[in-house]
Amino acid sequence: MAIGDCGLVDLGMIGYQFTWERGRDTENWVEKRLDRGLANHSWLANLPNDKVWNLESLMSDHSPIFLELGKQYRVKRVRKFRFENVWLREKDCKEIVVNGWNKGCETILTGKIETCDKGRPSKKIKFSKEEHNRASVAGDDDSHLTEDLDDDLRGGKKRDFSDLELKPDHANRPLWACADGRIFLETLSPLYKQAYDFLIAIAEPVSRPESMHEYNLTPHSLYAAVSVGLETETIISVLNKLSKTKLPKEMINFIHSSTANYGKVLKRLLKDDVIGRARISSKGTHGSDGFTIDKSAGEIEGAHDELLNKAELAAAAEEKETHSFEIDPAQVENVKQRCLPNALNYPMLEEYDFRNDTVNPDLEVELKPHAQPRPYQEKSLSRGRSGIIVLPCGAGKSLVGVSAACRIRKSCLCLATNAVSVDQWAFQFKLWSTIKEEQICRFTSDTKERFHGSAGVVVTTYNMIAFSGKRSEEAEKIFEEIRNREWGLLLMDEVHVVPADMFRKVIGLTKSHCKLGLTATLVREDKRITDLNFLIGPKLYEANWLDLVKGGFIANVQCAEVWCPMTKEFFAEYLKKENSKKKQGYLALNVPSNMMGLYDDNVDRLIALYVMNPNKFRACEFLIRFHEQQRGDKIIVFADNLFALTEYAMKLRKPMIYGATSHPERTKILEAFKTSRDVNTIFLSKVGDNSIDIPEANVIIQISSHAGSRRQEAQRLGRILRAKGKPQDRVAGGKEEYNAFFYSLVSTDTQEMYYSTKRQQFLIDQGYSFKVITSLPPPNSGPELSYYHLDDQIALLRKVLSAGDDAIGLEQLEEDADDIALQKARRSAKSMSAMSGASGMVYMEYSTGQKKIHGQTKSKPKDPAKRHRLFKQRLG
Amino acid sequence: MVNAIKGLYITCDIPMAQFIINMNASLPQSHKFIIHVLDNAHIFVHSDVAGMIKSAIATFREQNTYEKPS
Repeated sequence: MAIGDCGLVDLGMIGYQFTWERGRDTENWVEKRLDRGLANHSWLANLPNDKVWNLESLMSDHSPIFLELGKQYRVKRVRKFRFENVWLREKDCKEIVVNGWNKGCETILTGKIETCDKGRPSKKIKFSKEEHNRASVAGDDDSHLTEDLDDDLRGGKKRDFSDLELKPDHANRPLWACADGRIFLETLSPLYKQAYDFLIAIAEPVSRPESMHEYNLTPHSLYAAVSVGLETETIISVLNKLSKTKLPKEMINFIHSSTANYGKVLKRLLKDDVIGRARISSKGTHGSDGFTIDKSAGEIEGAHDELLNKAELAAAAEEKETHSFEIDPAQVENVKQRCLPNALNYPMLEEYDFRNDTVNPDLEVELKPHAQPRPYQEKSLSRGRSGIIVLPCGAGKSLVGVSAACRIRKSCLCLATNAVSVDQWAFQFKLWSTIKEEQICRFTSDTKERFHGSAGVVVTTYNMIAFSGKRSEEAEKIFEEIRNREWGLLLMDEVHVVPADMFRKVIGLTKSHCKLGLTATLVREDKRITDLNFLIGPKLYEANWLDLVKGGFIANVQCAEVWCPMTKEFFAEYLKKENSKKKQGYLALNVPSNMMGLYDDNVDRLIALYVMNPNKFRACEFLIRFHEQQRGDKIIVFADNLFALTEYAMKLRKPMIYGATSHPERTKILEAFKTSRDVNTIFLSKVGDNSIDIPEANVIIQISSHAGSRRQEAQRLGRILRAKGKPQDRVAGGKEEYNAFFYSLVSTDTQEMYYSTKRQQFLIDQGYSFKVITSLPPPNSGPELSYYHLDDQIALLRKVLSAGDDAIGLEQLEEDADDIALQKARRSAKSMSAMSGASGMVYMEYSTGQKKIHGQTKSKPKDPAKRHRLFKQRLG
Repeated sequence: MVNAIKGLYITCDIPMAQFIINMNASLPQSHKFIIHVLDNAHIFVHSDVAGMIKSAIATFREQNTYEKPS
């Protein structure tokens, strides 16, 4: 439908159902609903309660429609806590303050003020009526005041939990549950394993370092829990059993309200306009409400035997009756959107009943016997659900994708980010499954194949499908076939790129029953990652990186941050540039990362200065030498800044690959890296993040970072995560205990520290800790490393300062998955002639002699004797 | 007769010395506080600027540190 194609949703209408008419009281009387309210998804998300009314018309043939906004969207004002003298007139005031003060006796000053505030009965009732004539002040922020106090404390959450009652045997219990839905789990407790399995089923992990995990209870996670068969009462009783304190009332209420929605859903859903209209009513319904009823088995994951007693387990596993109604396929996305927490709050799980699907032809594939899915890979696949699976790089995502396709056994469309990945996926399919050559085909700009038979697997890129320009005829034909076919499984690799506008189209263009997204890094810098919930589905599984390391499935990486102090001259220049930026009235450098570079090229110069720090160079050289010579490792050095990359690579005489390197040269360098003993280090620019089939290495050194992108940090780490060495060597104390190293070189006292810490957040949440190394290179290393002498350093400084603006800027590549580069506007001081391409050119005017100004006659002498001999003949 | 000035002796690392010198250079003539730069890591300044230098360094440090929002 045209409206759906534009990404708009009809808001429905209340009142008479037609808005226009013509020819009333004649036999050609036509009435239509022409006037509509249309909204896009973000409108619906923000203003869910708006209604469209059809009003009476007086003069026109159209009736006016009126859009009523349901809920006023209010911005919460954060005000500092102010003690008001008028309170002293209240007789209880002093008593309340004294009580509150003494109660919070261990907490800091602001905590005490908080407890006083809590002890106060509701401000609105007491004070707003009395002597106080500033009634408006008391109006709307009574409950917000406690949060204002945390201006000093970080964040707006209450941190004083001293009023939660500890149970007497709290030392045996592993978790803390807080009123705002956060749960903290101690990993050292004996009950850790069971508690962990349980928590994974009901909550979303936020951060999982070595000793203490943090989880969050959200409506989505509770919904997922209920849908596998856990009942509300079960969840609450188990949480209570495991919790050190009595469960806060707010949490119990929250669990009740989130899970109560499940079950009575259908009738309420139908009452909603959008969904009601999307329903296709089956012909000949006899029943009162026309629901199809069938049985399905409840499912419960993991061994919860110790936690749940027999009765609860039986309740979860018994067969339940399911009721269902059918929805028009074109409306599916609208229905899903309506059900999100900000609209109707019935989060949907999309499930594909592939076993009973007789309409689509089957694809005869199976996993090969040698494909042994690892336990966590099994866990992440269940029942044909749509959703996202998060597994670290190197943990075998391809096998998960192939297993899913083999389980569903219908036609599969596999999307990757670039042509190299397409080849890799095709290879993986052939490696792990019994698929035949003619059943799998690739569709890229270079290869256009087709599969034979009624069902098959197509591997292509997002760009090929979402491309909106003109295609070649052959590509157009294949594209039409893809569009018209009903796919059983839509497999999306690196699904974190999908929220970007261009890639979203893919989901609308293709019809698929089950969508599975795979990624290692479910983060983006532009906060659009939550769109994935209704675009694809909820997060089905997120691996615990540390567990995978312990199990030996991925390498044990030693992450380290090497602090390199700036040299005197470089730092002086850095400060000068920073000052001049401030003087021009720009914001301090802590702008959000999507605005970095919005101001002028001074920023690029600053970055160049701290990246080309001679001490950093020496550290890098030292590390390369150490790892190459003493351990025989393979090293990859990443640098976003092209200027730095070139300088480093040239000085150290190592091969480098960046955007402009030609394909044959890249292949040659990578081959040499893989096989030759002489080439052990390569330098890579941003191309190394996604588009190349990079062989494995042991060591990664990062010398410059790209505006703090967490995704990039994790992707780079993925290059060394593939497990190497024998399992017994990899235990603690074995010779391969740490067999992979990730160094991040940072110049101290510069903005780089800020961005580096920001980038590391994702990895820290997964449990990696960054060791800090400050004494690299060792102080006694002298001239054997470069830039030891002051003159060399000053020469380098001069080079940096005089480099052209383009040279030190960012490398521009076509795909930028985070959309960060696209949001940057580059401002530079140039002349107008530069805009039209005329910079550097000078025009000189000269007369051709055609126009003779009056009075000036310049005529050549027409003396025949003086003519050239060639003309003598001609002109006589 | 010797001319003696009372002042504050600062010992720091090389980058911070540069920071202090830079700060000094950005102030107007009447506010300049450095009496003498002894070497890369030692500076002699007027006595009352200790607090100002400390707070300036603290601000600079904070700008370069990232705190995870909770």
